[in-house]
Amino acid sequence: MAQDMAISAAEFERIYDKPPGLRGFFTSVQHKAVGTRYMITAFAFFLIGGLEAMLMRTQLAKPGNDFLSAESYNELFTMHGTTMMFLFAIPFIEGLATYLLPLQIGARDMPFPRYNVFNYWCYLFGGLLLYGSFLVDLVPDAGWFAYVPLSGPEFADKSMDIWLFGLTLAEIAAVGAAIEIIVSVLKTRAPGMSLDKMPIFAWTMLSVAVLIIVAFVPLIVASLLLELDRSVGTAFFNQDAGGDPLLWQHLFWIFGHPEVYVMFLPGAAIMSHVIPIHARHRLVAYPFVVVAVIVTAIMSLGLWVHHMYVTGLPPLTLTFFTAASMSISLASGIQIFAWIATLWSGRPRFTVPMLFALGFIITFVAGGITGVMVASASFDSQVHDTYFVVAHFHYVIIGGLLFPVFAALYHWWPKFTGRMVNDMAGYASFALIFLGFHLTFFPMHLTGLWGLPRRVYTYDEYMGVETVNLLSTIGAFVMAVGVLIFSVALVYAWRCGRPAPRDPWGGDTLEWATESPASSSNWPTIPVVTDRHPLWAPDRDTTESHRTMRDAFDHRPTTVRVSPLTTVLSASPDGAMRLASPTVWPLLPAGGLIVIALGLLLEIYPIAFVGITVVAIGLLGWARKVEIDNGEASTAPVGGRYPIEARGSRAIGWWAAWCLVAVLTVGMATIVLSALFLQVNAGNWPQEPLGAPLLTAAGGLCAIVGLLACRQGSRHGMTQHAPAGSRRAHLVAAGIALVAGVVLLALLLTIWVQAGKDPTAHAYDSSVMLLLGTQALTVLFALGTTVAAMIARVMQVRDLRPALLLQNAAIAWVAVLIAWALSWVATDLLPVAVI
Amino acid sequence: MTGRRTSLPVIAAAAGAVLLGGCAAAEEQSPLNPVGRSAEAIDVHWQTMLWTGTAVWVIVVAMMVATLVRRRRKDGTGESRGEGGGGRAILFVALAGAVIPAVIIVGITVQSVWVLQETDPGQEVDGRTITVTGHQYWWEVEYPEHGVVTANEIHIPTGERVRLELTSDDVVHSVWVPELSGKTDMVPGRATSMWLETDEPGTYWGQCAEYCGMQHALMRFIVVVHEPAEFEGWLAAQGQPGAEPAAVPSGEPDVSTQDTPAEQDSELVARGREVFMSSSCVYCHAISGTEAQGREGPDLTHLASRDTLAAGTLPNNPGNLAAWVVDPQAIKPGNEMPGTDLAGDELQALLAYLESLE
Repeated sequence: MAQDMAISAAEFERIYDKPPGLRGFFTSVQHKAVGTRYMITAFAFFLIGGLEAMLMRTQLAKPGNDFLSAESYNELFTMHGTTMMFLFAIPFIEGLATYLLPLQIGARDMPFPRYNVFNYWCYLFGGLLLYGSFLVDLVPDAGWFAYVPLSGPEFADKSMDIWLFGLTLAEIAAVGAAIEIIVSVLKTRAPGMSLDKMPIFAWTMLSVAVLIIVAFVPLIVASLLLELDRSVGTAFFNQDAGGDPLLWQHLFWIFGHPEVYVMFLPGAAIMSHVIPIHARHRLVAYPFVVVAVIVTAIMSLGLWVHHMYVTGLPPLTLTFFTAASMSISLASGIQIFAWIATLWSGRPRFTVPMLFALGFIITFVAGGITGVMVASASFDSQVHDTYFVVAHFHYVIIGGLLFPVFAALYHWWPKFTGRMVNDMAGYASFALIFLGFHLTFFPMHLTGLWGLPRRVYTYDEYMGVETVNLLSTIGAFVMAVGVLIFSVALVYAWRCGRPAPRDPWGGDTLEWATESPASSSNWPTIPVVTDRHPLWAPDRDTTESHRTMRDAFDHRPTTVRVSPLTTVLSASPDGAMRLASPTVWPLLPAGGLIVIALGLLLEIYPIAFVGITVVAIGLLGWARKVEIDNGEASTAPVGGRYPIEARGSRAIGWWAAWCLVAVLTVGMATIVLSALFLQVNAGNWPQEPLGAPLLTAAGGLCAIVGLLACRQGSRHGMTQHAPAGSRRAHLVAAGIALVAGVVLLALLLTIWVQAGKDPTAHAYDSSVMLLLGTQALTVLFALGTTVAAMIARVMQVRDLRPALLLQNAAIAWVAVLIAWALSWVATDLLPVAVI
Repeated sequence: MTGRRTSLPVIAAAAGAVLLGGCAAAEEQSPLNPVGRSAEAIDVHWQTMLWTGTAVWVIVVAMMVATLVRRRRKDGTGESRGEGGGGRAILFVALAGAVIPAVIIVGITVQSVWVLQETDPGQEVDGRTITVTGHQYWWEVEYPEHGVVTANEIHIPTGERVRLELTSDDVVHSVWVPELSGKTDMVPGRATSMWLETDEPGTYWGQCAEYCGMQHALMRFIVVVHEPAEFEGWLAAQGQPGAEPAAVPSGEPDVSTQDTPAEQDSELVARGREVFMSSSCVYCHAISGTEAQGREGPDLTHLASRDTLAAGTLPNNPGNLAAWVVDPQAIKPGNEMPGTDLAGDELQALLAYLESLE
């Protein structure tokens, strides 16, 4: 067979090259291209967000300044927060992970390259939509936290709708990237890289990705609720109709607090790579650091109320969240002292990344200490929503994320571009950024303690805060100059820097074994890992099976893109994954989503229908392209022993499908808990079930039929026996599932019509509508996967591929069943069970 | 060399702590000048955390600097990258990173909870109740037991724990008087409350602390603390209906050529009253004892007795009042009050009337 014949290294790389020119830009799906785009786009948004900060600081330089109007100032702080959180921090981290993870864990790409591109386009379009608001002079101005009722139908104009749509697109991208990261870290590590040998960055991104799924989905749901309140007139946040403005605050901070750790943990992970390499010593207490990262991720889900200490909650609640919020600092303490112990044991070099790391420790520790202070509910009642808090979280986020990001850019720039960044520019920018930062934000502690609230466009000269404000403004400009020097130095290095060797810093992790920048395939020869620090370890005996895998993938396969798969725990050879070839299809559904958003914003609904059509066509074309890729004869097992198509948890599709089930379940659970929250807080929640037991039971039955049909169908053709019967079995199974789905949709519609609810009249009615609607959405998801299986069945001669897709469809039908059960709980059980 | 390196952060931290701890004497809206019971309890907690926190930061940074100094001695040793930390290193990380901080955290949490109970905004109080309603962008203050309604000023007596029942008419606001107490939000559709208590008479600034729209920055108020007797006097005065123009001498109204200045004034005031009652003012403003009963804007019954205009935006004097009435949107863009196009003499009369509302 062709793939067994050796080919030259250059010929091998050509398989992975991106197409040239503009076509390449729109069709490239490689992780390095996508990661680069993420990082460049995010950095551009960072500079814009920084510019907004400079305008605000200019306005606040003196009391009673009229440089900006109240309206412009409010728009700027809203967009500054929104930009830095949603358009810079998260996308940049995900871009860094997209670029770095495959290099660091020895993969040729991420598992779903097309999905990766789709997510990037969603993010870009979301960001452009948000900034399009400047063109039509409808800039959001309700704050990045968008508290209702200020952001609700009564008080906010169309700018809020732009904010909600733009944000949701960016969030869809973030959740998608999280799924990509989870499967990547679990399944695509180099042979031998068992969990205990995984780089901290991989551990952290795995934890963070799980956190994103659990925490970001509630924000998407909250945005949906608010948009429904605004456009349809539902009553989720309307206190006069069973809703509650506090529901928004809960949902927002259930997202918002984990978000802080979604930013900080990757920052810390960067430190766990930069400090050991530049101190020339292994990270001390690696197991402690891993445990600290995981504990932080879990605990961060239980702290959100500390953003709501002054909303009049009972003292017992405040006590619990005070204790919980303070305890999370212990996990950070472990990491800080692991780095200090590493510095102590090693021989630190004062390189630019190391300086940023030291700046990180000095700054982040201070931010952590003020964090313990504001975690105290009683003290927080004084400084909440003052400049003290502004100072605190900029210490944490700039100290904990931005300094590490700058360290990372300097540290990995040689790997990204093959060029070294100028040292003098690095030192100068560090000095300016570090000093400028502290000059800006240290005085803000005082500004707050002297009584200035946040989000004020002006202040009285008698308040005594003009000197500290002026210092902050001067510091901000010093910092801005530092950022500009840094940016120019990066661009200059990219174009004409000194060429970088493979491993300029003496690194320990796998990415330093690749070329700088890594070749198109990353790894013509797959690395075999025997140590946590592979490049620092003396050559040890590798395992026979690992060597066999390495040899099987050595410049192979020779016709298509394929990367190895390993087992989750021990990273033993397990199979192979087919990587996508260049394609433009993922652009279409993302483009369709933005068209839908525009149609709804303009209230020209035909445009929205065009958008829906574009999404549908895009998804169908995408599915067809996948089958074309997988239809080639070259899907035979690599080296005769590593199958590209495998069943159950050996397949990456299985993992992705379960991740999507998790996303949908978290979303449904959020809606159910929201309804429960409103029920408990509203005096007039209905006390009887929705009252369509037969229809509801029939709905559950349909979900079970769909699930069983797909599951039974997927059993045919998993082995080589009886291929003739499999085709019919697959078609029958998918057909039954399709019918079950359509019937279920009809049932949901009937239940809604029969119930005769008015979603604008009461929050219970709104909840019923939303629960039935989101149920319908999960049915559509299951139908989509079933159709994908049908397409595969029609296009493929082989039986295994459609069987695997039916297996994924069965998982999607599990989501339908879960959604059905949760919906029933909220519409029928809770009103009766909870008094 | 070593000495300078370690001492730098110590000096910086100490300077910072002194700045934070001691130099706030001149500020007029600072929790660092506590005079209220609640603010005082929180301040004790703050002082503890400030000094503990400063010490922790200095120690951590000093340890970090020490690792860098040690590097100089070690330069030139072999290439070993060491193991991932022996037993001693791991013990150090566990002790310094978790065990010692845990002890500190427990101490701070205990103090926090104690202060929380001391200051609990929801706790039962003996004193009177005042209702405060947040509006974009002003405060409605009502003494329900006395039938008094005022705006943007909360008057309380010394030595009494006064409850504020809080609610909002539109969006979320937050009541904050730093020198007396921490803040509590006003959430539409929800009842929240807090209390104020102090022994120090005086005037204390408060400000809205939750972003509430375009003029969030100019939504301030004052709390005036009186001795009890003085407070009763204030309350009684506020309970009176709005001042009526002094009666023009009866019988001979057309012998006005001989008017004294006082009589001219009262005539102007009377004309101003007519202007007020016949203009759109009455749709939004109430003056007790008259037909003006609008509730959209602040009650003006005793407008002239107040210290500030437009929720702490301007000192209350005739010039500012004139500027405000003529063009409120120039002073506080986005507030609910429209400008007026009254003729010059009507405006003069209106202002004279408003200034008579002592």
